[in-house]
Amino acid sequence: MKYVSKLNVALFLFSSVLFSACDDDDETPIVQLEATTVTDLNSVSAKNYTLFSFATGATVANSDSASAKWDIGFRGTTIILNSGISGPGNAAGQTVTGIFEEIVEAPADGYAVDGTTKAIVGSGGWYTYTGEAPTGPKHAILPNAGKILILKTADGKFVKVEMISYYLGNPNTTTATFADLATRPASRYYTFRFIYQPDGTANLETTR
Amino acid sequence: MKVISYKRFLGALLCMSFLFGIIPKKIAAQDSLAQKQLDEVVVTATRSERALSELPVPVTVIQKSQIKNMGSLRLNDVLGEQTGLAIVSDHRTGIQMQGFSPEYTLILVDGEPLIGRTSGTLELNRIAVGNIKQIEIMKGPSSSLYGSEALAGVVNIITERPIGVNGTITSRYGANNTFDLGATVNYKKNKLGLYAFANRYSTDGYDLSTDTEGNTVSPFANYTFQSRLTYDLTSRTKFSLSGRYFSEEQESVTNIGTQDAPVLLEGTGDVKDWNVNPVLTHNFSDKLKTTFRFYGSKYAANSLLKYQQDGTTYDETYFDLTFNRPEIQVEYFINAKNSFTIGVGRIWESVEATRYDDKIKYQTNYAYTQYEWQPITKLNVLAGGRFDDHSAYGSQFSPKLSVQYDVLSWLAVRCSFGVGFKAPDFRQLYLNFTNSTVGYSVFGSNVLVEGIQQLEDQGQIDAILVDPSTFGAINAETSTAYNFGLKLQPNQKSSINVNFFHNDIKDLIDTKAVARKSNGQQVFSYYNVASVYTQGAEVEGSYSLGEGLILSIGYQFLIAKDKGIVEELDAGNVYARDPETNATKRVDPKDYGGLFNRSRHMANAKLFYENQKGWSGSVRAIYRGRYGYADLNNNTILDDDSEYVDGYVTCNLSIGKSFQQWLKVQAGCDNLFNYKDAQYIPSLPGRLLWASVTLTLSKKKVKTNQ
Repeated sequence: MKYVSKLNVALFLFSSVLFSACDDDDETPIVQLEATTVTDLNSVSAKNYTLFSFATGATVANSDSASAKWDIGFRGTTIILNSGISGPGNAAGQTVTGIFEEIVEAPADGYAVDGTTKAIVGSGGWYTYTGEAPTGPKHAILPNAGKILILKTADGKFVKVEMISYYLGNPNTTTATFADLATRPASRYYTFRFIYQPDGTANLETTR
Repeated sequence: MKVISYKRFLGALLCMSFLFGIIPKKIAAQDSLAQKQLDEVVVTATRSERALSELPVPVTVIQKSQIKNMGSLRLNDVLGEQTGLAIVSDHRTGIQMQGFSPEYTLILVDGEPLIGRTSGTLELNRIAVGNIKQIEIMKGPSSSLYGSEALAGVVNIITERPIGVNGTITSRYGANNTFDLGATVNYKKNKLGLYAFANRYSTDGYDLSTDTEGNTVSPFANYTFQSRLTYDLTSRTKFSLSGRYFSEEQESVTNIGTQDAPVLLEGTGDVKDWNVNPVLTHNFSDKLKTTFRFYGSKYAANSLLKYQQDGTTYDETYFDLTFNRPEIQVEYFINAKNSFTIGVGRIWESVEATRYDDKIKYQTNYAYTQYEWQPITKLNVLAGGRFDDHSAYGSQFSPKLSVQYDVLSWLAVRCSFGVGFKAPDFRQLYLNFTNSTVGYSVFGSNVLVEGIQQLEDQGQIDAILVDPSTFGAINAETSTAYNFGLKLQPNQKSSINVNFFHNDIKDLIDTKAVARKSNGQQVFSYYNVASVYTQGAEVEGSYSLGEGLILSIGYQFLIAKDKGIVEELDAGNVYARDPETNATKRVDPKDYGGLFNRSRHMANAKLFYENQKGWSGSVRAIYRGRYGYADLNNNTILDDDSEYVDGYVTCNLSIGKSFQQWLKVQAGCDNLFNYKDAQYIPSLPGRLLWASVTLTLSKKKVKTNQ
């Protein structure tokens, strides 16, 4: 498993600016939130979910599954949130349509928690299963363009997530190499990017 | 790739001019084009014989001599080379006209429809061309005369009528072990006439992807018998009886297992169609002419799939269609400038098939009328309308108005407005089908609710995606069309036809997923969805180079778009993934390529040659511009370069020589440059060489131009 977690530069800046701005009025400077890309997150296990925390940008051990340390879990194409029947946390989520960069504020309502149907709908939601498609790659899981997940973490902070790939190495899915099942890269490896808002507001662009 | 295609096209043109250069210039010029066009008589535009030059609607005529020169065997060979027509494959091989799929073009033989479409496409390979007098192609909606399906236009195959006493035998052999044997008998004496045609066609098919089990096209053999008997009861009363019988058998092998662990199925399929068509015409006077027609047709297809290993049955299907139609037509010629036509009829149709629960019947009553008016010599007006009352979905009125004005002796302007429709077919209303190899299901809209209920009772439904009751009844698909054209005849040697078209289509029927099955597959049904438009321009020019050489050039520009998608794009609601990074971007409306499988540019250039010493030949180059194949960036629309099939050129040659009156030998090469694309154009075989011999036996010298 390989993580290319860009350090959350924004957070770093945020704390250092806060430090130096102590004497000023309550005017805290605004800093831009930067996206973090997670590459090839392994969800290969047929038994356990791969648990992940947006605040740390890292996976969480399965021994902590009964805690609020994780926000989201992956097993194959199934995505769970730390809420409802899936965990003790207060996570929730919805799928909206748009461009990742353009969604600057999380919607006020419309969030679901995990029940017998999961809050994050897979097939027909964030991805399409091509099945016996007469054209294009067969039996492929392709993330739908323009589908953005807006989530609340286990402790109620907002995150926006864009699913990018379900295959090892984020391959080009329009090629003959991908279309051929014999040469297609391994599945169950997630690449996604997200922006986490640590200050508890619905703003997904900047933080104070 | 594109560059090469253009180069080949240019190369073909060069090749033609080269050929022209080496032909000795000593043969007297033949009929000028102008005279030829005046001579042409067509029936498709009015359902009666009319001089082509006087008609305000564009009709393209392909003469027998041209078909013979090309050495064509089947209808798809001929139509695939015509301006604005593209051969497309959807379950079967059909034609695309003005951007419409094959299901919207009516295919007629002597004015009567051929039946037996598979998923809307009528297999053009079912029609032999050995007995064809001419093919008439009328573009633009013609439901005002022909009712349902004539939305894009009509292809009317006019077969030979008895002339003289003679017989011919033609045999052709070519690549892929394709063997064609045909014979005609002609007898006309006094009041009695008989024309009979028999043909056997067989091929081994071909295989473009040899690493997979089974052929791209499996071997098949078919027989066609067609005959016409005419008898003049009196000078005013004439009777004609024609009939057709067609039978085809095909064998195939398919692999339903994997490459490493194959499970092979052996398939046999047979298709039969026959029809009978008695016609009685009686002229009460020079002014009043009546025609009584009956047309009865049946189509039957059976297929059987067996495991190769133990011979047990895997799947067995049957499909039977019937079509019966009596009709009366009355024409009244008020005077030289006014004539009036009226017709009434009834259609009974039925289908019985594995995929339908019961035998299903439709009945349509219809009436049509048409008025031809020539208020001044330079102005021709054709107005008509038809009313169809259909037992399953309601009624439809289809008007049409066409006007032609001869501005100058060499320039005519014409325009027409028309409405066409296509009734929902049997499968769209009543289909109950589950794919045996993959497992998805499709229901017609009338049986959807009970079908879903049935699957639910059997515990096969995982989730309902759309409430089935919201699908409701489906309407006929309708199109409103505008055509504007120019006919130019700058001199005796050349002619140019230009036509601009716009088709506005409503209530297009599409499929949508209704539910997800527990096997992971989906249940689909039909609903009226899209509003689509197709528009473009077509140019056809022909120039007589003298010495028996005629050059023709054709071009079509086409735009075909889904209006709903255009709106969504303009609103910025359509997204795509960049194939390189998989990051989402918004699709620029400019990148929308329109409907799949439509080429923006199509062109052809042909050179025909014929001299009085019996030599004939042709060089034809057909270009099909790039077209959308499938969505690959997962937004269902055509917007990325990777989603296109490259444009390509096919080049065909033929050469022939007649000896005396009784022998003709011919040879040719189709697809000279061997263009192949196994993945995207399986319907295009590689280079095909062929040779043929024709023997003509006649009592007297056969006059060729009667």
